Amino acid sequence: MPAVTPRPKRWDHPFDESMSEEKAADLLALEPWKGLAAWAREDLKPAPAEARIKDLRRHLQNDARLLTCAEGEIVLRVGDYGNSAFVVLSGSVRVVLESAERGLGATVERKFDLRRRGFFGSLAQIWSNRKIVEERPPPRDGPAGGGRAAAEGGPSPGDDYVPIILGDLPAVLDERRTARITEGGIFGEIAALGRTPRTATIFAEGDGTRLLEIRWQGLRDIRRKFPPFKTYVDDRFRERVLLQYLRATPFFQHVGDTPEIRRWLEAGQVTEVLLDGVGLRASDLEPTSMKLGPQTVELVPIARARGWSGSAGIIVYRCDESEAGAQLGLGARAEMVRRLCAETGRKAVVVYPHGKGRLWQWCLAEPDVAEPSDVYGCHEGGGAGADELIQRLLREIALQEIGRQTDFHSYGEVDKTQLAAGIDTDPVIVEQGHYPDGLLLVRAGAVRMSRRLNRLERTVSYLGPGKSHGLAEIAHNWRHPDKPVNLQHTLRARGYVDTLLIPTAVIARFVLPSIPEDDLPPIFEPEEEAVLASADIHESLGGVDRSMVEFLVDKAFVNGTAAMVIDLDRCTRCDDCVRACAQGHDDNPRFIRHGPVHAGFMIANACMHCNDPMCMIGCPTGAISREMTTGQVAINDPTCIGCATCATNCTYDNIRMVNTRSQKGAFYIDAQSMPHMKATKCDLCVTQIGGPACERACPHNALKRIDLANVDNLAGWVRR
Amino acid sequence: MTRVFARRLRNGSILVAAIAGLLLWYGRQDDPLDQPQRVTGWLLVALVAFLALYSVRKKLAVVPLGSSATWLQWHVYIGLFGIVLFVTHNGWHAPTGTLESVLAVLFVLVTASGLGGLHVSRRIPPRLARRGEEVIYERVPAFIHRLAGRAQELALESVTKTRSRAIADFHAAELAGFLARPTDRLEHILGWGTAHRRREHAMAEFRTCLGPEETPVFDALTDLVRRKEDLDFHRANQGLLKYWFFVHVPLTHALLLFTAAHVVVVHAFGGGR
Ligand code: SF4
Ligand code: SF4
Ligand code: SF4
Repeated sequence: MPAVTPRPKRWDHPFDESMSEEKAADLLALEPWKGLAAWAREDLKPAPAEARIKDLRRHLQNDARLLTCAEGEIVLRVGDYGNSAFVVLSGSVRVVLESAERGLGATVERKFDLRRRGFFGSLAQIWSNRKIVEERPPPRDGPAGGGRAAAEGGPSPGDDYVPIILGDLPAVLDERRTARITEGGIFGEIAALGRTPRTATIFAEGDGTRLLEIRWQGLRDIRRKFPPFKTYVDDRFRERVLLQYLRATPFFQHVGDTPEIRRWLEAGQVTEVLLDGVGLRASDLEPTSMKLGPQTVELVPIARARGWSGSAGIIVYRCDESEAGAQLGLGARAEMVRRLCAETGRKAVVVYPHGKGRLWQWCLAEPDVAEPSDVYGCHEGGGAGADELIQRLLREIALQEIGRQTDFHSYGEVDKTQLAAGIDTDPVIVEQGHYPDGLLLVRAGAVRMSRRLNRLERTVSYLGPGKSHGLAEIAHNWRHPDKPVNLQHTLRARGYVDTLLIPTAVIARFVLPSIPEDDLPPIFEPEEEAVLASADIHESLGGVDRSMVEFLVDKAFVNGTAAMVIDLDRCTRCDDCVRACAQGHDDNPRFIRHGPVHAGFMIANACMHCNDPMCMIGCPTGAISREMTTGQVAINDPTCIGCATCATNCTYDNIRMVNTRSQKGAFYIDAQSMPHMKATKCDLCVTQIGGPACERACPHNALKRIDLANVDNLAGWVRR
Repeated sequence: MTRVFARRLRNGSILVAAIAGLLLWYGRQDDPLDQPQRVTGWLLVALVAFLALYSVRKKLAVVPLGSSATWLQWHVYIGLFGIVLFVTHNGWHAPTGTLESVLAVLFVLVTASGLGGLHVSRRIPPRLARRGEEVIYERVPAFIHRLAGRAQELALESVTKTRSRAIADFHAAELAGFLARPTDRLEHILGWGTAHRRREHAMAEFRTCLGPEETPVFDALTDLVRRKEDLDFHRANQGLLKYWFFVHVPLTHALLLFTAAHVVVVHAFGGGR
């Protein structure tokens, strides 16, 4: 007899069971929701405005929850995958502004580790697997998913959330560069919406800091329904992500360190460094003076740069060559820089005393925070240390200038139909034979790289996140302006692709002079176009056949970070892999040893844990999400309502909808006799101590989980 | 040099060195029937137990006990060493006594099935990869059933389309039986191709007698026959890959039992020698 129970719905399991309608209504009186409600009332007719506001309240009631944090409690950690964003309701939080290696992330233990089974746990599961296939507790009576990790939308580890508190907060604040976010400030939204890792660690500054956490599904809907919120989020993306991205990209490692800048620095020609070296403009601002204790300091603005999105920029003052200025101590100078930064609202303020050689001070403030961060650098005297520090500052200034001139473009859609289509219908990003008008950096998504030969366009390679295109051509033209070359390849978007385009002139000015001659790409030899193209098409790519590359791109497998590749020349079809998977998953394997085959390699129907998981886009409850620490795409079973949106969205057909059953083996059905389904798929054995059981179980090393975003990974395995 | 080749070279060298060491040690013993037999005997027991542990590892697939591929490498090389050890243990003579003879036969059978399994697991997969579509073994009968149904439909269609019973009769006489169930297992395993050639010949002959209306229908039928052959090929070879295991493992269990009996007997009647 089937068990009849109501069908699960989106908000059956609100993010916070205790969030009432009244609490949600109270939140509407606080920023930023207050501003959004005001916008709706001003810009919409009364009836739609009220409906929109009601909608906002419903989102807050169902997709948000209230958190109270202790002083020093880590709210989110650099490197964790984001499934939600936060709003500061009262108190403040601190963002650690240093890079992942230097920032707190590396030293603080992971906060929400999924509970992996230990050795004996993994042994015990063999006997404790459920007796009934796809048995579940009755809907609604099941666990609503406790603990913060579950609330984050990840697979539930149970109610075992243990907050991590920073022990010596004053020391942390002393040692690290941090920025403060106060009431009404939002953080974590970029990682949540992009389903990417967090870029900074954030902790609560005082006891009782109140935060509102919103899961990304709610955030996405609010962003869609409230245009001012969209603009706000998009602008912050430029502010927050771009610079980090540029800093992490190898080409920009030496920006601000060219032979010419070094010469100017040696000669004390500060204006040349600032104006010609790192691209600032001459300032038209009036000189100003500042009182520091008993002394008054004259400050002459000599150079400045605009920020982007109308936000703060950079300004450089020369400290007048007065007695007072010369006598200022380091502490007073730091105070001067801090105050200037706050008064001018600039992102960066640089002060250097005229005629004092290498005495520089500066302050870099983060955008959108209530007060500028601490003095970023200060150095007096000469030597290698001084040069390094000044160059770090110059690099920051140059990067900001590059960032300002960088264009954002996105192509294609996160859309199954587009991915299923072929080369002709993939949107063109840049075209072979066109002038290289900039260095293209792929931020997200997969890009097909193709080449025309006799009018036939063939895929030759592909680019994943972090890869760039066009540097070879730009570098060639920079060195040989008399023999310019055009772009050698066409790039097309496979699915949704985010790119940055840094104009050629900017590259030629800031980047190329900073790359050592030996590291520059080789110049193009004058060869027949057809010969080059033919070599490009027919040569193998590190051992991977070009037709294989074409296959991976055509089928969009390049999206997979852990695709299951099976070498059919070695696979004995023993199904040990399938049995191992079943053993780890209640005797029901989470993949099928079947799938598209090319050149003796099968890409099996197992979730590939995509770079851009289409399955996550429409999930109404957030049941399918990235696991926080490792980024696998996993399904939180209790909150899955079986709507099959993920299964329909997954281009690769890697999600199975299963009928659930009671402990007695009866199928659950609703009042209309429709079965209750749950989505199931490979979770990359996220709870297994040894990692993917399928890979470990293969006796012939015929099966490997491979990140196909980079063809070298496949090449390494094929060549084994 | 690929990594696989380097690994084989390394493991092969270690194996050769181990065998050489064993033989050298054995040659230096004064009484080849006393001390060396006890040492090699216990070594052999340990070795057989270790080899049998691999199937335990396979059963505990999710437990982190090292990858199955690493275990298999050890299994193969230690198994090869075991052959020499076994012969040495017997003093390079044929065994005497019933228990010892049964044990020796079992050892030979386990070793032979193991080497046979190793051989087929290296030889068959590339052949499977190059023949027809990849298909899951258990699904082959269902696919064959579908093909047979489609062939039946084509034969019936041919009667109405061409107003001739020729194709339908040929189908009933020559093809229906072949298409109805998996066939030619041995042919496909041993690669004879006799039945295939006979069928091809009969079909080619028959095709020459057909009119222009009938030829396309018959070609479609021929295509189904080829696909059926591919499915048979996969069924036969995948079956071999699966079922050799069912020879190797029970024999191993028997070997373990007889080894235990042998140890008891040697201790009871041989004074623990
Ligand atoms: S379910 Fe499909 S879309 Fe989602 S991560 Fe897996 S393979 Fe990618
Ligand atoms: S990684 Fe784990 S869950 Fe995924 S297919 Fe392999 S065994 Fe199954
Ligand atoms: S365990 Fe390895 S050899 Fe066996 S079926 Fe799976 S991939 Fe093939």
